[in-house]
Amino acid sequence: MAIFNIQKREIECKIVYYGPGRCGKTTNLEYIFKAFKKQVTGEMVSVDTEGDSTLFFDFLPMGLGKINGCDVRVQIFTVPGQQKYSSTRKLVLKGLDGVVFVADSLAVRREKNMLSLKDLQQNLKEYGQSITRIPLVLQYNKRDLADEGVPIMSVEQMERDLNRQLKVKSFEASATRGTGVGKTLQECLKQTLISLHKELQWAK
Amino acid sequence: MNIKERVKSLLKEAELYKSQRLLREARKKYTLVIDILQQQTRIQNRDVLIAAVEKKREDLDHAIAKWDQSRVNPEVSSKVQDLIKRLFTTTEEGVSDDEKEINEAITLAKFGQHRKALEEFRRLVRRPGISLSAAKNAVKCHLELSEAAEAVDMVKRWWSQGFFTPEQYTSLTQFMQAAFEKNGIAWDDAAMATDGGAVAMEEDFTAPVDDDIIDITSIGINFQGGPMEGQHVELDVSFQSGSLLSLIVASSEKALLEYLGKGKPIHDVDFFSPIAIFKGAAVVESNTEILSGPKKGDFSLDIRINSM
Repeated sequence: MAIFNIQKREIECKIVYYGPGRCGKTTNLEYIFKAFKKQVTGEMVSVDTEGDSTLFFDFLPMGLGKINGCDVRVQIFTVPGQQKYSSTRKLVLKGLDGVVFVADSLAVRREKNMLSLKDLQQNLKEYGQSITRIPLVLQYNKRDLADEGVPIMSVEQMERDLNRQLKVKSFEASATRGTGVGKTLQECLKQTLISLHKELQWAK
Repeated sequence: MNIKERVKSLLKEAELYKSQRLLREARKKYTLVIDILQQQTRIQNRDVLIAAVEKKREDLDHAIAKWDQSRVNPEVSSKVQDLIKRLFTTTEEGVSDDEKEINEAITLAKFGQHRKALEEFRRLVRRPGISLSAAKNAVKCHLELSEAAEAVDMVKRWWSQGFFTPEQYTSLTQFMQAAFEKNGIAWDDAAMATDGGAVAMEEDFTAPVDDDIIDITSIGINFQGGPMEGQHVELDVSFQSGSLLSLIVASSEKALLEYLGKGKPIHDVDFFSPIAIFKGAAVVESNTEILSGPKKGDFSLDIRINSM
């Protein structure tokens, strides 16, 4: 839930990167941290395991400057994607304003993508939010692995699997190369700010 | 695609999955390669190849087992713990500092930082407004750390130190019973039994405890539980140092001496001073036999005033 300080004209919102384990959520944030230095307002914090899996969360604070006379600050989080971290995932999700769902393009991860999206829907529901109403963007990550000769899903198939009902904006990406990372974030921020504007009327 | 190419392609795929830490996916591919090779009798060095792939699969099995056994919520650095408190504690406007601090400790516990959370709850239990909540959460932490006996000892110690009213203590023990039973731990009612009586926290009149303590000439103990239930015993103070009172008990008072062993909390005590009688609580610090002098054979009972 965004924090709006009327006196100071400050708004702070929360964006969460969600998706199955090893889909590239942390890699997205690492790229954002490097590529958007001007907007990044603090250190990126990663709490990971020995195997480099996210343990609790990654955190990156950003500032978007003044929008409609309001100072807009964004807290970006990733959740731990692995099944066994389900309770932590739910804790990190609490109070979010927008979601980027990162799906893994590898064909072998098809089922994991669908289960993770279902998990997101369930967790949002438990917080009284609806996946169809929350600002949401899909990212089909690891498109570059097609060059390695391993089976990846076509975008059409991923759209059918994940976006047939949601009908939200989706982006192809390669977080390791940085392709599509910025566009994904920009779209999610745009949708989130529009939604907050409607809810809080902060531009008035 | 001929067999050789198929095997090469599967191995490449497995290696890529391994590099992505998709261990189970990589394992499946290695297994497929082993199956294919086992069906081919004409391949040169077939057994050597199978052994090599089996070794890779075995290494993966170790990595998978290690991952499966890794703790979900290990304790992290204090820097990360501070960040967890700051980022995930919801503080509504107008809440007191005590409430804010207990919410932060609860956040730590939710993130599996039970040791650190316990440390904070132990500190917060001393604050009257949140003592019960802090105690309940501390019990939960001990149970998460598989330390049921420590939880019992901790709560009994807090009770003896007068941190709870009898009502709070009852609520706490009921909570503990439910929590223990939920975790499949046997609950022993007797372990938490008290000799009853309200602790001084609830009394209307309070006096300073410790160095500013007034002179106490004698005490009266009202037993509301145990073998001496209903009895009132008065004892003279032979020596006083701050909140520590030394009493002489005749060796003939066997039941009294047996009951007031070291560490025993006394919840209903009348403290007689030259100016007034104060009600309060105390705990037995030592109970030792006098070995020489005119009182030889009697007992020296040291009690510490907890509240008055």
